Amino acid sequence: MEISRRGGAGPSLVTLKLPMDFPAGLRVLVVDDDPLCLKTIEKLLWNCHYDVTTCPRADTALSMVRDRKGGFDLIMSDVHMPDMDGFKLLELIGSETDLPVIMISADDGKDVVMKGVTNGAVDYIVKPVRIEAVKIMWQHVVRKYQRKEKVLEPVECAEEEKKADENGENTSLAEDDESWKNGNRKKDENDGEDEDEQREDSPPLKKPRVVWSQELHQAFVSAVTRLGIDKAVPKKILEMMDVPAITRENVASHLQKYRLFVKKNNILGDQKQLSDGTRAGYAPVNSVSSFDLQGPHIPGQHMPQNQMNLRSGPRQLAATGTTLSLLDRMNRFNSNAQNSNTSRIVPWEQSFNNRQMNSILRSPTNMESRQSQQVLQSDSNLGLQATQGTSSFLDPFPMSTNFAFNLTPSSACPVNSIQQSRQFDQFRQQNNFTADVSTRGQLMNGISGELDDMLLSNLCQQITTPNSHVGGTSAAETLLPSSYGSASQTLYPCVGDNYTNALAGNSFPLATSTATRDILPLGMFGETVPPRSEIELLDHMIGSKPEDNFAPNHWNSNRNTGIESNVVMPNGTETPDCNKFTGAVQCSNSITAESSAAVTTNDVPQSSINVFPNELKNVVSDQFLQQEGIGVIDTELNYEAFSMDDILNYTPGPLPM
Amino acid sequence: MEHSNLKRLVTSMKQNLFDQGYLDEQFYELENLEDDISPNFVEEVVNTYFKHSSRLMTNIERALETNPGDFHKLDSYMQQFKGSSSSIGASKLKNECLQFHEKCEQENIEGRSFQKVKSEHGILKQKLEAYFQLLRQVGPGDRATSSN
Repeated sequence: MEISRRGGAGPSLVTLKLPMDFPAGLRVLVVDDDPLCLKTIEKLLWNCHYDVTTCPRADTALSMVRDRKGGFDLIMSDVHMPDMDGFKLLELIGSETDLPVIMISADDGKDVVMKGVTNGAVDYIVKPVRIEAVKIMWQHVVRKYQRKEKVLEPVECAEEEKKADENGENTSLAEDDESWKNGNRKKDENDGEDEDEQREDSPPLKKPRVVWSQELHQAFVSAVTRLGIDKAVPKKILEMMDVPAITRENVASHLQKYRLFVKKNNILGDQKQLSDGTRAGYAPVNSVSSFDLQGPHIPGQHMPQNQMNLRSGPRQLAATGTTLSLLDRMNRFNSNAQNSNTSRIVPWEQSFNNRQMNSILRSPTNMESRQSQQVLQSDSNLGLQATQGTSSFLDPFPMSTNFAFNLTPSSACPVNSIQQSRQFDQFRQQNNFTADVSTRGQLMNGISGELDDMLLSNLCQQITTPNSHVGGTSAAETLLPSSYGSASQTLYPCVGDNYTNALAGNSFPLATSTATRDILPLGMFGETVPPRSEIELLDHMIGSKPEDNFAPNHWNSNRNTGIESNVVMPNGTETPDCNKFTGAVQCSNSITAESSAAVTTNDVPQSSINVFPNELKNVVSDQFLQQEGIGVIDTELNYEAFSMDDILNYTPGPLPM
Repeated sequence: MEHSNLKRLVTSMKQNLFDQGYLDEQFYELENLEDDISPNFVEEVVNTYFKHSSRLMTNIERALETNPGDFHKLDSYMQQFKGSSSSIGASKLKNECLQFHEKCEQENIEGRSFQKVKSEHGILKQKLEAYFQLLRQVGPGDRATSSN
């Protein structure tokens, strides 16, 4: 499945290029203790040319999903099962993967159906299952990819952009799934703190999401801790938090992310805590894929939006407080993984870190300039219309104008970008953890935004590298799995995981650790990063100047940086994770995204994680400490760390400038 | 023309089952699933159903005996039973399950509450067994799947 975006004035349209025989081959896992239903549904699905796997037990199904990451595109689960409640399975799958889950049951009671919806099921089918219902089940997969696509857009676009340069087509769709979803979903729900957050952002775009501010997140985390992360249910958490503006749904999705983040962190193990306490959310190295996707593809503009959105999720986590650290980490990564893939991500990321980015951008660092050049040139698609500014790569932050990152509504991405930036800003500010665990790419994006330009670049490079092996060409492209399940996954696997891995520290430190901090730097997934002096400092720094981040011009400038950052982090190392991801991703014949596992972010290969986190830690902490304010980063970040070749080679996606 | 008589018999038998409400459209759906790869799909499914439903019913009865107050558990069983029954198009049985479910919700389950379900189940089993027996005599190629 490929996802192509059609840019142009107006909202970009993401067109999934599906295999000719789509939805044939869609890999579905059916879980039902009733052998009769299993048999009939299986036959139904076979007749629809789906690739069916049946499982009578939920625990077996869960292992299958875990073992075969990226092995399935869709899950169908019964509600009433003897060994495990269907909703519990839904929750577990939701927290560990981003697979769409459809509930099936003879029970059509309102409560039950409601439960399915609120727990994240994409659909609820009442038995008997008819062919009409399953025939169009693929829509959920497409929808998922589409969302991911938005995140990845920048990356993907990179490739396309090269050809379609200056199209400005690539819209920044790469919204973080979460942010996007949240945004959409929360539009109505957001009030209270969310509104405030959003208002801060100046960008006019929607303010849909519930912004998980530090305080909010802290309350959340403490509630979860009290309840026990395994036992915490959104309803109870909500009650404990006692925050009026939040709905159970908000909590549910936040919890999902949190769990995922925690899980990732656990995977990361000691890497969780980068020395600087930066959020491990951004696993720059490995997550190249995601970054790549976002960065390179879309010319700055595109990236920003998408990335923003994406970032809002993960980045915020990481960004908040750990922006610097992230950058640092990125730097580290760069040095480690000289991978030029795409510094694209970086630029994008950078754009988000308004302040930091600005400062960094302003200082024409090699990376920046080169990257930005690349980015600009290559990613003209971003709605931001970076085309104009291409020339100003050298000028890291063509604040003025060169960069055509005009968030013109008409551009493909502008809206998104703005939203993204806003989201990002908000996210950063609040250390919200909006990381959409589901999309690693997002994380990457998010991270980049947060990070300083340099960091972004680093990340990008690092990120790109992983991507490269993912798909070789463009992470984004590879992401588009020819077969189901791969696309988005491939994109994300590295990215997301990388981030989490690399930035292990950032990941939710679990409630326990966060308690101590005032600022909760959120890791990729919004988990609170364990309080660390550096991180706190960073967070503080980051959080302290929210307005900078949210200022539109920041965004613009970010874009510039974004461009640079597109230089993907040289993932040279490609941390084995990435490879693994890719491997995983590719496992399924079709698409790189095979590694749904990778995508699911949980799968970050340990190896890769290990590689980066340490590095990042060092980098981040060092830099973090040094950084004093916004944009300080650039000095810290060693742009040199990036191999310009990498950056140059990387086709920058639309940088969020 | 024994064969065509048989065929007619099969058809009318099936029609009866539908007319009397024992079967519903779902049964047609199952028949539609039958193809060269699974020529006896419907029969297999029905056999699987009766095996599974018997087990379920045993569980329900045991639950009724040992812990009649656990309506939640009873309801859970019943939901499964209902799901199963509806999956083969057992219309009447499904309705009985529905009634049982409502009784569970009202916590008004008695010993005989389940008997109705059980008896319907028995009736359906008999009828379907006869139907399939006849169908086997007719032969696969002659099965007319009349979809509504």
